[in-house]
Amino acid sequence: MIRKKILLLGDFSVGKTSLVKRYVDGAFDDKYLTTIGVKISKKLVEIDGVKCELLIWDVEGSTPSKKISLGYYRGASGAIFVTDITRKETLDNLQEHKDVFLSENPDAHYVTAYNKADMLSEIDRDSIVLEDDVFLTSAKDNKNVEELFIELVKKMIR
Amino acid sequence: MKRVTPAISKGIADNKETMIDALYPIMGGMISKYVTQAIKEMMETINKKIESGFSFERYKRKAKAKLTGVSETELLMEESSEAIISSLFVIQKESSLLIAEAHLENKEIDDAHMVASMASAIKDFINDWAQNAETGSEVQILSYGNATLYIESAGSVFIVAFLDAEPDYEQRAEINAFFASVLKEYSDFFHHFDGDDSAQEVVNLSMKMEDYLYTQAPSKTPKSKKNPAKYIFIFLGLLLLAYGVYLFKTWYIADSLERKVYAQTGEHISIQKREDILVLEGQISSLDKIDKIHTLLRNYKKNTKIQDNLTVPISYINQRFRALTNMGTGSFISVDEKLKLLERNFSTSVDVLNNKVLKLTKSLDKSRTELSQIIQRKDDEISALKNDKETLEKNNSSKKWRNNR
Repeated sequence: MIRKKILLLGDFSVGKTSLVKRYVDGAFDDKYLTTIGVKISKKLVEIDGVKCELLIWDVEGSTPSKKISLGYYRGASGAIFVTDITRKETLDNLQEHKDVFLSENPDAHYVTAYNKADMLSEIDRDSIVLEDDVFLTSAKDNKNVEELFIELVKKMIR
Repeated sequence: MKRVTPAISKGIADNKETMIDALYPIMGGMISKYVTQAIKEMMETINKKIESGFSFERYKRKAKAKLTGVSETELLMEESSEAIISSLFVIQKESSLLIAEAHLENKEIDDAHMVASMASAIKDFINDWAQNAETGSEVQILSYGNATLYIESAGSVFIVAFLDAEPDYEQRAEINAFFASVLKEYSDFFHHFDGDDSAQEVVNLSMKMEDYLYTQAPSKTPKSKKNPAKYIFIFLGLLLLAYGVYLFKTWYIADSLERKVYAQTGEHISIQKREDILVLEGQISSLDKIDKIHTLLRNYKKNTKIQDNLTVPISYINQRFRALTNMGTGSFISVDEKLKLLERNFSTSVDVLNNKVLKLTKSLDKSRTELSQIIQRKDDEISALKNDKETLEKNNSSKKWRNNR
């Protein structure tokens, strides 16, 4: 069996922990508790006959002014960049999160989640144009969460 | 409770020093209680060790105390404070992935991969903080209650030893030496590790680590906490068991042969198996049955040696002699056969008599020795009485002499 370290990165309160909780435990809790440091979970997936155990590092939120320990980034095979679709600044900071991560792990893979899709109207949701490897997700409604993680795993083991 | 908590929090925030002053007497008591408990536990450990009666370790300790001049209690205290390494992890530094793990029996760690990642995250966090604080040192010990994690880092990996107490300098040096040997052997593999734990190197490394855990000082590992005396008893027990089995087998063979002989000849004889020889004893009714018995015994095992001490009654010999003479088969042949029979009976009887004479001689020797001892004692008593008599006579004559004067 192979094991891969993946990170969830993004600003504060974008729903990283909720995405992990939905994917690993199949649950959702709308109480907000900020993550301090890092919380590690694991999940076993099997894709195309390949068994892979994900060690998911749910890292505390960061912003350009509040950096996180670079030690957390090191050795990751993949990352999920999470933004809050209802907060523009979280989308603006996305590129910086990517730059920092790729500077530590140039060969790593990543996908992006525009989270909290449940807070958009249907019209707004339809108007959003998604690039490759970007998913409109909702941990609350369990929308595209599994797909998000599976896409990243496929990219990592390909 | 929910209403009280914010009030307490605010109270502590506003009056930190007052709160500390108020809590100190309680905390002091708690600390004192904790220390007392810790000492009590240590004393219990020492007492247990002292009471562990027939133990090789105990005598070794006693000898060490005599030789070094250090008291046994001090040696025991030193032993009690030795930390046991219950688990070992080798973790890739860059990815925080667990490469190999090993545990003592019943000390397995659940979710080892998550624990390894978390230990790695905590280490990274503290190291980052330490660098910020310009201390430049690396985290080496993480402790919680009785659990201690000793961390030693190298270039691509770090080792985590899980102990029940903080390791002393000597133990750290031991762990580091082991780690160095691991690095020397697996350095290339560590560099190229990609999370695939099915590699043969992972299996080999885990075995090496497990061996290391079980070769800690004999008093440390639960597996080696065994009493050599126990093994001696087990060995002696097995030896006795093997001897018992041998005796039973010998008896069983002889008994079944005796039954077989009785079933096929109707003769009750005694058979004893002495190594490879079957010793036959007893009296049979006629000479014809001897051959039959011998054939039966040879069927049991080819080339069996037989020591035949069987006898036939004199009346049978006479009867046989008379019968042969009456048949006119020639007195010469019948006389010859009679002689052979008598000779056979005679030689068996001589053997029996010899044995009896030997036994009697032995008991006679014993009685003779006892008798000479008794005679010696009586002689001693007589000479003691003679001495007493002489003393009395002297006393009497001196009395008479004084009276005469």
